[in-house]
Amino acid sequence: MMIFSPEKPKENWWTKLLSRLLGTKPAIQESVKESNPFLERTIENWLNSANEMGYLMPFSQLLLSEEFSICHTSRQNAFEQGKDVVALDKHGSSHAFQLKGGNITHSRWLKEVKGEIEELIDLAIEHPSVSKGSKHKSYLVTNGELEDTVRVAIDNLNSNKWKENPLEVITYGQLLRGFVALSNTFVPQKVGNYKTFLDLYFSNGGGLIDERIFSDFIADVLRLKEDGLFKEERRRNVAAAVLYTSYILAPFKKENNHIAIIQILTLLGSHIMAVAEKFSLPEKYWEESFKIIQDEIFLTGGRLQEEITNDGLVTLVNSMWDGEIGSYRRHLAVSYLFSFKLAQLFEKNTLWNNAVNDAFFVKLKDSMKLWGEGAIYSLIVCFLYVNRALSKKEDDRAFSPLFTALEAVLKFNSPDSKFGLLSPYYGITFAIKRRYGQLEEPLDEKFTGRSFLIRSLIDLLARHSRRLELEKYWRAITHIAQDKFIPEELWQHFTWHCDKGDNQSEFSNQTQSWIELVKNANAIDFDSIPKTIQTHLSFLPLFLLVYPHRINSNYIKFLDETVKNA
Amino acid sequence: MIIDFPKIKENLHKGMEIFLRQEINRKAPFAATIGKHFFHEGDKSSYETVDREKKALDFKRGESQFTVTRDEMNKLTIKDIIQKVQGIAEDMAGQIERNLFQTMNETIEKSGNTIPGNPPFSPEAFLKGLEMVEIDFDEDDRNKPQLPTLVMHPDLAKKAKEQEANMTAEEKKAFDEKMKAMIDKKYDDFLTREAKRKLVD
Repeated sequence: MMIFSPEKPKENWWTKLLSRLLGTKPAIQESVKESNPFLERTIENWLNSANEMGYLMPFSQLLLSEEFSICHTSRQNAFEQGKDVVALDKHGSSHAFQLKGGNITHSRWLKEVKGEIEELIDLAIEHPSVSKGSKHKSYLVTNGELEDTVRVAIDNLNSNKWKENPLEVITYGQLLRGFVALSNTFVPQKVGNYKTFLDLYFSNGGGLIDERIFSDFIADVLRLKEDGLFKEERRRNVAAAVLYTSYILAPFKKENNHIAIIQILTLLGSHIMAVAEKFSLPEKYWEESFKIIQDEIFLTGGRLQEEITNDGLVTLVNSMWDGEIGSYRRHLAVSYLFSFKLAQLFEKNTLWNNAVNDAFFVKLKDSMKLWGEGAIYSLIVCFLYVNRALSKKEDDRAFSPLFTALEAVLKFNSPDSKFGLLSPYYGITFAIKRRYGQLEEPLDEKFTGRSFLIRSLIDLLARHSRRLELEKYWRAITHIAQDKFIPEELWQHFTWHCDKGDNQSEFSNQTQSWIELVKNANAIDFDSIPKTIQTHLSFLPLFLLVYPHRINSNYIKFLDETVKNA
Repeated sequence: MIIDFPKIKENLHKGMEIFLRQEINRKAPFAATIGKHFFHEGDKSSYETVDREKKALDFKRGESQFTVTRDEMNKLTIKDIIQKVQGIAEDMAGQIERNLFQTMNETIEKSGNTIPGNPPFSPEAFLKGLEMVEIDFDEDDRNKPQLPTLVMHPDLAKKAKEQEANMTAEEKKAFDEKMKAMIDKKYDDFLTREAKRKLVD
């Protein structure tokens, strides 16, 4: 068992573990520059209230920061051979960790934990990165404490039955020190930073996060505006960003708010991509952190699907206002679900099409709400998913979301219309506030006569040979200006707001050759899509969902192409 | 410091900004009829005209200010502040409308879309002007032409009304017939133009 000495904070379980296993001085020590009692209290508060799944991601990040590489993290609630995390140290030796939340009492040890630990120790790791039959070190990790009787029991087992492969134990104090040390890579320097962090940490976990506030904060943690940092510093900044996000996720995890968790993780992943793209950071400095974020997204997506399967769209009602607000909530749930299922498809996960059956579709019926152009993307992913999953390809039924979207744009955004659909710069929260007269100031922008998403819809229909329908709509289409925003540099696609870039607006040809239209719809400009997202395709559907103002026809064509090739 | 009420002041300031925007709209009636597009990001913008001509948008800065001394600040009433904001709105509205007409004049002159000889305002000049612009029709209905807005100096507007009042019955009849013929032609042009909006092989 590892020993924690409060008198020598730098000699914690990490330093001991590493000096024993790797014979090197851990990077974490270098980052312990100064302590911040407020930050430490916040981390303490967070760690005290997290369950095992609540600290899985930051624990994985802690391992990465100590030069382990993660082979596996739990993606399901299902117990996986007692191993929540499997990691390799830099010598290639394998380590398996079982994570628990809270104190382990004697009765809990006997009823729940001991059996799992036996599996953790006895069952060999089955993973392509681990040589068959090789031995692994086993760890019981808890953010609580062990009762003395449990400690004695483990000591006894380590001296006898588990002598060949003794169990190491990591408890609350050791975890806390590890998280504090790594978090100190970014200590909020400005009061504003710290206030933002606390505001986010104590926010109401039932809603969505304010994207702009979180993005500004996480860009600071990642030091996105600072040039001239060493690559190792960038790696540590990425690690700190993962940890801070884990703290911020706490209120949302407490509420099991899967949608906001995916939203926040997507914002985090996007900002890490911004760093990678901007500074041409080799994958080895960010890829593994990014992977644990994706693992957490997939884990959460699975839970969202489970909730919907268990009639979550019906049982969501928690106030008399849900007759009105419920439709927006259902819309978000279904939008995130379809984007997650496409992400699974791109990841070649065999579960990707398990949402395609009549019983499930009945649950989703009437769950889409066209509250603005930002909602059109949800109809696009619904089409892409259903069209790919149905046994009969290009089935007319699959196209109905696209026609609904196009007809709505042509009706509401025509130059003669009184009310246009909100542009993608206005999110669902704004749309709800506007609908119920809660805007702080009147909206003075006009949306008629133009559309950000119409080009994407036209190109999708052309790519899928829907000439007849486009012929019917073409005259109306030519009256609507097609808007888009192109950030000046590719890395800026991942930032929430861009100071530099070009707002472009153009019309379709009045007389348009079908052949030419199809040709253009099939041409994808890969140079205009950041390389990082081209190499991490499963992130694409969620990135576009969370960043609707970055959607343009080129992205949608690329998404469609990726679905075709998946 | 002596205790303050920053949140209330912040809300008053927000309210003042909303009032300022409303006043600008009121004092710049022509600009207020044109829909506003916000550029939420970026530093450049380009657009296409209905004739599919690509143009870069030149952002023009509009600003105004008022100054108050510390001594004045202590005595300003809400009425005084409203007056000052109205002054700013007047100034801003003037800048916006002037810029708008200047840009329109430049564009019109560049495209040669001015009435040859720049004749004084008259029923003939009015018809000539209408002849030179495209007219669309609501719901494809000949009786619902989207006629352009006529902007003129109040003196000229008064004169135009006098001209109309002084027209004889024959002159009025002749004008109405010319107007009807022109709208008929515009309607034909509109149908021809709209018929071009289609997908072909």
